Amino acid sequence: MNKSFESLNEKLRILKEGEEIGLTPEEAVIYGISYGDEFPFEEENNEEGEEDEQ
Amino acid sequence: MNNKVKSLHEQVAAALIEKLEKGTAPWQKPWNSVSTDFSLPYNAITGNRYKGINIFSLLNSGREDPRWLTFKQADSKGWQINKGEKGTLVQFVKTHDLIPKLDENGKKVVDENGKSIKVRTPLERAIVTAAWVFNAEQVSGIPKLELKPQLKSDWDPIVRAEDLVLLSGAVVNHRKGDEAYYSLRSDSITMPLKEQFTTPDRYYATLLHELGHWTGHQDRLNRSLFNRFGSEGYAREELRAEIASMLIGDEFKIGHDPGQHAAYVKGWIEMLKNNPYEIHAAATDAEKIFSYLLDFERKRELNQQTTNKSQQKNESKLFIGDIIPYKDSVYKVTSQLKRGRLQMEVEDTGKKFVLSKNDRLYQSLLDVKNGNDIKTPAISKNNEEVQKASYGLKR
Repeated sequence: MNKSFESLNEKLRILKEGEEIGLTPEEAVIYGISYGDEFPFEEENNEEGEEDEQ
Repeated sequence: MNNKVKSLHEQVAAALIEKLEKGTAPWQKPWNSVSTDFSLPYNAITGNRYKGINIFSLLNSGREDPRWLTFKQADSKGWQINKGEKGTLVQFVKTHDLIPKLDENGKKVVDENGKSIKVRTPLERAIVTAAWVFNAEQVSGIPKLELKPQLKSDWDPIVRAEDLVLLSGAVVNHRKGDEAYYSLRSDSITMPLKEQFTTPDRYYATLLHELGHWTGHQDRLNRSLFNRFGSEGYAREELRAEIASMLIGDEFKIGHDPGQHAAYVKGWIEMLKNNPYEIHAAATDAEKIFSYLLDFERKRELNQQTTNKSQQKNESKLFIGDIIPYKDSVYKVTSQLKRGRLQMEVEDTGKKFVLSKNDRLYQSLLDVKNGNDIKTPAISKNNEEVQKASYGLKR
């Protein structure tokens, strides 16, 4: 658990705007992934919708 | 902390330490039940409240307007982020992706507008992403702030709070005094008398705070509650309950009444200095508490929906045992026959006959059963028992 906690902390420290980090299942539990804000997919949809129309 | 780039929770913890020292941390400030007074940050487009660590990142910005949105969301509405404005960092989680749906030839399936249809596909690993959001004060063209719509319920907040406590099944005792507490040993909440509170919302804000502690029992969310007063564990649990109180106060519009914090402030500051991640963990646990408590309402709504569906189903058919007065007779459904037909009996005469759904009498009896029959009183003038039966069916 401590190892996962440390690796999660390190990942979060390097997370910059617009970037993504993948979490291991243990890190996801520590992060509380089920209780965070879900990524707003509608933005991606709009973007791709426009591309489709081009 | 060193000079390396700080993570979001480290930035939030540093800002909260300063606020705690001044007594201005978000959970240290009371607000009342007037909904214009205060609202937790929410998305200007979806109306959804921000969660967990994001709440504190956004509150720490000191903005008055609770509405936030991304650059793209502002753009989609034709609003502009004012020149030179800086965004505030939040984190989003992804547990699935939207993948274009393909047909048997591997071509994208499109909808009637020619847009690709997406399929929700679980990710092998959860992803956390960072994004900037902007406050409504930083956006030109956005409408003036109005009251946040009550999306889920228009109930009186006090009735809703009382119902939630009842639904939870928590044991609540009242005793004259100035103490409100949850006892792990007796698994019960003790509250001062209602009349000792200045307003009902103060009473319920306090009671729901204690209900937050109640969720920590090993049979519920199983948090560590065996803590000595003044210990770090005690301060940790109190922080979770205070943040949960904020979330519930916002959802129920009953405000937030912070407890006596002097005993905890030092502990909270030390805790955040030693482990900045504690604010992320506490905010997540508070969301768990919030979700656990609101599940009682969700379950009740689901039960209600199931009951309504069952009632609707019952109203669309005649069933064995239905007794229906119609015109000058009383009809009883005695048994179910093949192909949906019913064996009927006229109670007054004992006459038996078979009724099909296509028979006009079937619809007439159904109308009477459902109270839709306006032409036929279906009541014998001198028979009070029959009159009752037309409103309350016997089964």
